[in-house]
Amino acid sequence: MIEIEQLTKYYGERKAVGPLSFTIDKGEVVGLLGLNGAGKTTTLRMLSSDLLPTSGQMRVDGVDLVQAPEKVRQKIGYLPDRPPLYGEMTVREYLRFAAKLKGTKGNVDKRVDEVIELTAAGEYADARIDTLSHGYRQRVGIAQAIVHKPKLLLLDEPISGLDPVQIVEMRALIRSLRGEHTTVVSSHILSEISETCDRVLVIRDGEIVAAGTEEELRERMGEDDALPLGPTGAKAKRSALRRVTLVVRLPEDGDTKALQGLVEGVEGVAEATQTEALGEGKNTVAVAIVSRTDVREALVGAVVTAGFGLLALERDSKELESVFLELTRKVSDTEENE
Amino acid sequence: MSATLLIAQRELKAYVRSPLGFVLAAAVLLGEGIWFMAKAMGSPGDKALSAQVLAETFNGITGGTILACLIMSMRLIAVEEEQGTLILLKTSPISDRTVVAGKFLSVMVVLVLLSLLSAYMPALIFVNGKVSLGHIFVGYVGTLLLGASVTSIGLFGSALAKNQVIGFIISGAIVLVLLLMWLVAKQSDPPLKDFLDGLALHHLRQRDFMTGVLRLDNVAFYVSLCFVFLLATVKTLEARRWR
Repeated sequence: MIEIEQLTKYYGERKAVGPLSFTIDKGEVVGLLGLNGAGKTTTLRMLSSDLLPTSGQMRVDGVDLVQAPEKVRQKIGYLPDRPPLYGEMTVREYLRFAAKLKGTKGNVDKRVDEVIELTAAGEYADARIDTLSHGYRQRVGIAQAIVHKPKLLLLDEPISGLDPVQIVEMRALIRSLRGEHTTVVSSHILSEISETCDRVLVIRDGEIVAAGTEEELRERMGEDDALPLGPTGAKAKRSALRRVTLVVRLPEDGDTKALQGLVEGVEGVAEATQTEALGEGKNTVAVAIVSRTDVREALVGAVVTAGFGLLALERDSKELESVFLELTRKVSDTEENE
Repeated sequence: MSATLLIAQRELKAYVRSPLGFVLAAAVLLGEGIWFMAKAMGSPGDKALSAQVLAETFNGITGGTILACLIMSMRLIAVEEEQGTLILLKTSPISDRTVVAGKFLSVMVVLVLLSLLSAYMPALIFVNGKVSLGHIFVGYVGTLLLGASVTSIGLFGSALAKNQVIGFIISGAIVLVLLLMWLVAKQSDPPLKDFLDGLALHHLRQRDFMTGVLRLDNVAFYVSLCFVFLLATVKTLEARRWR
């Protein structure tokens, strides 16, 4: 769907992006992950044809973006970091305007009703946009981006500034768009990318420093970064490790040593550290587990069979974050060494 | 509906929904009315010819038109930039030409409505004096051509600036220079004098329209001015993509 070759963008003398080369297949949901100023927004602005590149080639659905920008724009829906909304219009009026502007085929009113329903903005369909909360403005922003049924959807920081409830709803909305559109979501928030995307492109200083699924990134980080771990002294790849936290209630006659032995006995577990389980009541223990493989299923089986009360088993939310930090740090280190 | 009409329609709705449109129309019509009573009609003892009164009336109307067009056009692109809505137009499958045409058309529609609302003044002269409909028609043609030129300059200023105040200052400065060109011409010798006189936006050219004389060179001047500044606006928007 997207083919980018040696794309660069300079603002005056300053390089913002490039050289950038990647492809995105039809139907994929890809996350563009990077720190602020990494070049995510500039990349999306070029893909949306708001900006033209200094050099390089961009093709969307086989059409060159520089040669035929208007043709490509028909295939693209774009939500910038600040939704482009006219405050004096109602949601319905605005979407009707956007639909007509983008050359929506068929019954425009029907399509507007569909996107209002899809984005759950019906409650405020006839309200003026300048009276809406930030969350609803984002929804209307997404609605305008999809109203003409684009093949490619570009979302720049769609959950930026939303409250936790709105974040959950926005993630669900983005996931619901899967299949209908090829989607590129930019963010510097790792959990957002992890939750909604099939694949991640990590961007730093305008260049892709890593690409792949969360799993692939983790494994790639481990290739040249081994640490000795565990009582056997076996080496494990640091970033290839998985971290989960197990919270259990001990039986009347159970002790923490038995639990320790049980957890360490599960195949793949490299390290298990017991801590106090805060807020879970008496006789409960939390175990931070590091493993080389996904041991969650085996852990649940072992714990339940042994008669421990399983209260929670959570993946460490910092897992992808550590991979991301590792990736960006590696580049920094290399630069410093040079 | 074509995208040009769609953009123009949205702009017109925005005028109607904000106090700006009504306040501006009221202020311009009030100013023109005062001019008509005080300057054009003159003191009760004056015995001016109807044609002279009509010419002076159009002098007032063109002043109001210049101010109204500058104020209306300063916001056309700069406000979209400020609000972050320009990107919707720039990423839609329409050309920058279409965007500029839609914006220009919206101001022209308002200008025609303002002109219609000011028509009571020429009508009073027509009923009570001796002027031809042709004279009135030519006067309004001049007003609309002048308004179109100022609007195209205003659009250009609005496209150059990041906010509407700066846009107003840029386009106001261009209009002012063109308005005062006759003063520079006065201090010059031929052939430069004729050239500078020819560039003056209002001085000699509007005098013809006000007195009911429709000359092709005057029409061509205003049309050319519109074309140059609208083209410059389109090119400014296009250049932004390469920034």
